[in-house]
Amino acid sequence: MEYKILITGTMGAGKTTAIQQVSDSPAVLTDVHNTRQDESAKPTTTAAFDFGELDLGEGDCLRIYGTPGQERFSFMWPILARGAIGIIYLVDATRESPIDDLDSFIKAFGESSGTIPSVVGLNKCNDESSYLAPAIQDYLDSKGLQWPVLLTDVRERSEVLELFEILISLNEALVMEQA
Amino acid sequence: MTDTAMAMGSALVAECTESLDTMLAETNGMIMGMIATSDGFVVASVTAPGRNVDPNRIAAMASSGHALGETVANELAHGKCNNVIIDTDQLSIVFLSVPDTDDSPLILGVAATKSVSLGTVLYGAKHCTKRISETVNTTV
Ligand SMILES: Nc1nc2c(ncn2[C@@H]2O[C@H](COP(=O)(O)OP(=O)(O)OP(=O)(O)O)[C@@H](O)[C@H]2O)c(=O)[nH]1
Ligand SMILES: [Mg+2]
Repeated sequence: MEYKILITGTMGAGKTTAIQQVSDSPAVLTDVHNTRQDESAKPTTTAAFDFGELDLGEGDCLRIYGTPGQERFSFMWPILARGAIGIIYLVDATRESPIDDLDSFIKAFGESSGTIPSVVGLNKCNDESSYLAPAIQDYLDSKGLQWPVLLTDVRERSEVLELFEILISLNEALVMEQA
Repeated sequence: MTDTAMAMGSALVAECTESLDTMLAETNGMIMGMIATSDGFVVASVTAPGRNVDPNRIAAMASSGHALGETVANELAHGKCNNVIIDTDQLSIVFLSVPDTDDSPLILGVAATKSVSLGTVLYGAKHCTKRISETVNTTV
């Protein structure tokens, strides 16, 4: 089986970093010079998409796409979401209103967000962000979305793999349900 | 004026706009010219009368399209992308790299009707990128 997985979230949430950690071959990146240091202080930003592949063995393989995070590239989002069996929403815990961020991405992926297995990865956590995981869970509950929320550090390969494992098992559960 | 244009300075933006105006005037059938940062912010844009273009949207798309061209160029040719061409029944659309802007790369986006050959469009656009490059490298 080939599974297409999408990673999305705000600028600097760690989408490109996550894909670079897990791809078997060097990830395909479309990063360009970032002129918005005020928004996210890093040298580059994704302009089209990221792509990586991960062989799971036994004929299974993940094709992982990362979206651009900046809203003006949102025309890429539905193109990239097509055919995805799971979405990882990365939330940057250091931003001003992480829940509003998540809310706007869930709305943007609208149609798909209700039906596609999804998981929220809370990235860049520090001591002050411990309140966020339960707050996100409350927010999801209020939307009727039963998605797992994980604290993560996408610079660690094993933590990104954990997000994938959850998505795949959610997908298997869904397939069984439908059968 | 966008924040980006403001940050680049009004003199530079004025000169870019003038180069775009000249390109449109000198190239038959050209309906739009735009300078954008490689991450998709408008620096200057010019549209032929009667054409409705949202420069902010086009700048973002130019950024994605050009970035993708750069990625493919890297993968297959280990080189830089000079331009990306989109050919439709009605229009030729080209996103070109502005030479010698490596520190903060700029893209020229142009669109022209099919009444004019692609060669003519490319010629006009390339000439414009050289002027923009000179402007940027003398103003800063
Ligand atoms: N301190 C800290 N930094 C992190 C963590 N996870 C990722 N980063 C850093 O945050 C930055 C994330 O950048 P990218 O991976 O480019 O972010 P992105 O989501 O692809 O952003 P766009 O493409 O601009 O939308 C990188 O510099 C990472 O090293 C974390 O848990 N803690
Ligand atoms: Mg990225």
